[in-house]
Amino acid sequence: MSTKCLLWWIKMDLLNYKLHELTSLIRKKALSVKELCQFYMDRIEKYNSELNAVLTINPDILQTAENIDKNLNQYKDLPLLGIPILLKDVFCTKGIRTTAGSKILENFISPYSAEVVRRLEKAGAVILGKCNQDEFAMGNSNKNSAFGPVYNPWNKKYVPGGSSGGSAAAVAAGLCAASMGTDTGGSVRQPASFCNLVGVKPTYGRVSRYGMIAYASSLDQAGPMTMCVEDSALILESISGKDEKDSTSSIKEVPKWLHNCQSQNIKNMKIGFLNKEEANTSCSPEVVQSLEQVKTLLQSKGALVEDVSVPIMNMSVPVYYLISTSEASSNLARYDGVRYGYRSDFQNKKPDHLEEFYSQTRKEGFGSEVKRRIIMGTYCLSSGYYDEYYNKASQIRRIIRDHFVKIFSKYSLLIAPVSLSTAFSLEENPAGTLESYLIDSFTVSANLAGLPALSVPACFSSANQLPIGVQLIASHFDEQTLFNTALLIQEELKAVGKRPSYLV
Amino acid sequence: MEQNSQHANLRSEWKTVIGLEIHAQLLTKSKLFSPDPSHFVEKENEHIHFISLGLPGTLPVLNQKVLEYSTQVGLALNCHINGRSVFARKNYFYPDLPKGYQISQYEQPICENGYIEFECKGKRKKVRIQRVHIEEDAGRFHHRGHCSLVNFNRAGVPLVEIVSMPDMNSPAEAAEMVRSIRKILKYMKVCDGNLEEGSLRCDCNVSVQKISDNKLGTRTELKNLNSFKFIEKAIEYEVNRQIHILNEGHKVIQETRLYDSTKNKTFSLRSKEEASDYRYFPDPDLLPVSLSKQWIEEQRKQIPESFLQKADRFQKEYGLSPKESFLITEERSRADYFEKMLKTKASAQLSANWLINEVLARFNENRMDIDNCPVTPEQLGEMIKMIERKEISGKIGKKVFSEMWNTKKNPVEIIKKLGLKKISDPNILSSMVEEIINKFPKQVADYKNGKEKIFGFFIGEVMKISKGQADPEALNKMVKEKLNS
Amino acid sequence: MDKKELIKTAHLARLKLSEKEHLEFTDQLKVIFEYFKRISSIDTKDTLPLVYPLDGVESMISLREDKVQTMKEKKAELLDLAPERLGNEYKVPPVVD
Repeated sequence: MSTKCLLWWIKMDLLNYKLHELTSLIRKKALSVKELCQFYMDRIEKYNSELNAVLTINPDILQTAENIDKNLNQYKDLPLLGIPILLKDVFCTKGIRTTAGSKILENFISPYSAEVVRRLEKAGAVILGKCNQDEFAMGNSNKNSAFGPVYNPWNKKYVPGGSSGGSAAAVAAGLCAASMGTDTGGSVRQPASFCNLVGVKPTYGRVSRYGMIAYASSLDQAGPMTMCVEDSALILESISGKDEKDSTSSIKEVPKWLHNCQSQNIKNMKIGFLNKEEANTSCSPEVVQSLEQVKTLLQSKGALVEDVSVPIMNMSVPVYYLISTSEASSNLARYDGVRYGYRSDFQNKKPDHLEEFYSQTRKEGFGSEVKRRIIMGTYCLSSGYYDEYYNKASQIRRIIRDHFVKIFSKYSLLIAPVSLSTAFSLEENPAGTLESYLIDSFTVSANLAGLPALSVPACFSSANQLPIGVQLIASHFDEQTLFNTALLIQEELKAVGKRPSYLV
Repeated sequence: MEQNSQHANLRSEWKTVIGLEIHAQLLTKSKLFSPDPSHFVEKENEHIHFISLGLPGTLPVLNQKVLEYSTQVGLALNCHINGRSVFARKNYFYPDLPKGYQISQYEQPICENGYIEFECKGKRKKVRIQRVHIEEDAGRFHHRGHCSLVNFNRAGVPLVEIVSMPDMNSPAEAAEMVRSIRKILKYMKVCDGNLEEGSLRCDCNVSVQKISDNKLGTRTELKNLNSFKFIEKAIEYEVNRQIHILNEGHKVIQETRLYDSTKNKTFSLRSKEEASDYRYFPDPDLLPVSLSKQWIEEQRKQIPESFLQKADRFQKEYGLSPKESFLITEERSRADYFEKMLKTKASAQLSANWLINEVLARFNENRMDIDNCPVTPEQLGEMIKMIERKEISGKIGKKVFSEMWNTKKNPVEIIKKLGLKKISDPNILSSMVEEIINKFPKQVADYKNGKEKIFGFFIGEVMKISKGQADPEALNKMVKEKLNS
Repeated sequence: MDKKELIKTAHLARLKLSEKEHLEFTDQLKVIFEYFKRISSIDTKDTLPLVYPLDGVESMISLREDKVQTMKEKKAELLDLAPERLGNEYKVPPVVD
């Protein structure tokens, strides 16, 4: 086969390569970084208008790619060599617009880059651009963006999930090799489940939050969204570890997750299946079925599977929303039009009063879900309500956390649904309703407790052919068990890697 | 206002109750949570950083030195240091507050339950310290016609806030309390204690109650008191104002008031009728601070001698009088200067005299700080040694000192240049004395006839021709010898 | 949360709400907080609140050396982000006291 022919053949299959296979091709010079970037840029041009997943393309991408190609010898040992990655628009990127999905930062160009971005680049990755998201990461549908909703590549009448909806849609549609999202109450895991991806929320503190626009500081964590388990392990390894600039980042050493990743020998491993009924909401039959499939699989491999009761979990959603909106109401106070960002032009009439200036700017700059949550949080913290809402929620948070720690003294792993159903349609679960918040019932507990959790594709719904992922939760700092078990599910259930056919 | 005598009677029925909140800027190189410089700079928005400007995605990291200094301050104020303390966010909107919240401490501050003792008008006074906590300073803004302008140089500078219990009962006690705190902080070199410039700020909570009453009256908060004089005057005015109101049967409104020094009045800050709801909650970007007993003890060792301890030591070790030692230890910089002088092996008593009578006198005149003294302690020490070795007289010393002050040169150089060395060489003195004796035979005869007082005349004349450089002792001896021979 | 409280809360948060939003939010938040009130049924006597999720699990103290770090970026870059400036200072409408 001629080289040209070989290259064409490789390109057609590019969407099926794992990241470490792509970097291998690049090292062998069978594929240039520029070609790979161009490949994704072409696909973005072709498909993004119907998906609205990507907001901004890095204007210097091809130059950066060429530079790596020219100096390949210098960079050849880098683990993410030449991998084009899209970032949720909540990661500050120097010189490239960062909006957080909001009008108030519509034209904001950060003078510095987030630590996650710095580490990805140091590992050899190239930043392809920024993804659409629910505004300030508030939402689970990506309908709350100031730049329009994102559409699920599997069926454009449905949501991709949120708040990292754009990041999920982009990976599923092959607009990039992998993407980064953030997870505060399920915002990586749920869109991963809705789009057939692997999505990881690491242990709280694993990944630096410096430069990651904050929604709820004690809950936010960055996480990779990828086509397969190995890719997530590789990316997470490259970005984890202590950062002096983030006081909450952990000093725990980062294990070689990818290298140690092997289908878990789960014989005699004690695995708990979360009793769904306790979450005070009901799952669709397909979700129930997906869990049964996984249970059967694990049992067949010799695991000791048991149902686990966590009754306090029916408090998780209220506790999560009370705490996250409280922190958010404070984190978003800095968006006041003074030092950066949007400022109301008051229809050319200058406000004569500072209060007016703040209120009008924020009124115009924030979408309604953000306003709703800021009001909720402000209320929870206000005098007279602090004890019964914020403080009470924080106390229950400790009970929830301690309960899970106790569970993990007995079990190595917990399995739970990611969400109540597959992706829902664009009309369902309107913002501001209790129903829209209850969608997070199964994901928020891991954030409250700081536990690592991931979503891995399990099967597809027979009713609407949409993907269903299953959630794995492990003990603090035990991402390895997550990766290993997820790898087993990946290999046995074979839902991983599938993409919507029209996009391939 | 009432007539004086009526007022005096009125006043005696009332008890004044004062509590203080003192904010002190700490002398660290970098700010509390960000690495930009902490010191004052003239140019606006020069000491800024992504973090202190509150850019999206930025996070605070605690400056180690601040933890050390604030613990030391707490220990110096006899506080209990909390093994676990927490940072909290104080939420409000204001142009000089970049994040829309100030990182401070609310529940679980770093230090609690201390006290300070000092003397006020001859009486010993003890004031309890409720708490000492860490917080960040805000930027500055000022009005300019139709807008306000903001400068964030000061945003994020580390502060300790010292809150007293309402234990003071007179304006003088309040002022003395501030003086004492200031002294302690300056002594520890953790703050430069400048009320005028604002590195030390004082807010006073003032209320009155009838002597017979047990309940505390409604208090007002006085702000913008940037001198000791203003502190006393503002409190005095406020106390009288409140007594007047209560006496008429009205109520005192709990509010914040500013002091107008030109009118000597306090006036209300109209704006905040509703008390601000700061919605304090623990800052989730900062971990709770855990301090071990060991670490706290290490901080105790770092605390330098207090001024009382130093004053005592100066009396014992150097034989200074209480008055001298208190004067010299009044400021740490003075005491340091003094001890540096002693390092040259100059005598303690002479050094003290010179420091008090020459150096400090000049400083009081020119309102300068001893840190800006043009004469180094080593230079002054050397000069004093020359006086002690009788190489120059004290009188010449004063000349030399003036020269040192103006030229910053060394005493040896100056003495050489101006040829001021004391003349004690017997040959030289002998010829000088003989010259005078020969010049004034009448006075010699008078002396020999018993007019002893005229002895001084000869001394004076020799001094004149020696341009003051004759060594007085040797000269005395020589003149006596020559006259009696 | 009734309308009066909503107005007060919105002011604390410096958010101006349209009439439509006022009505919508009042209704929505009523339902939501009604549901959230269930947390009062949990006994939390003697339970300390949890802020840092790994509190008690991992022991850490994050401190910074007292050293000045000059940014590589110029201050001008930071100031250029300002929507309005006058000289080197940020410009805002006057504060009415």
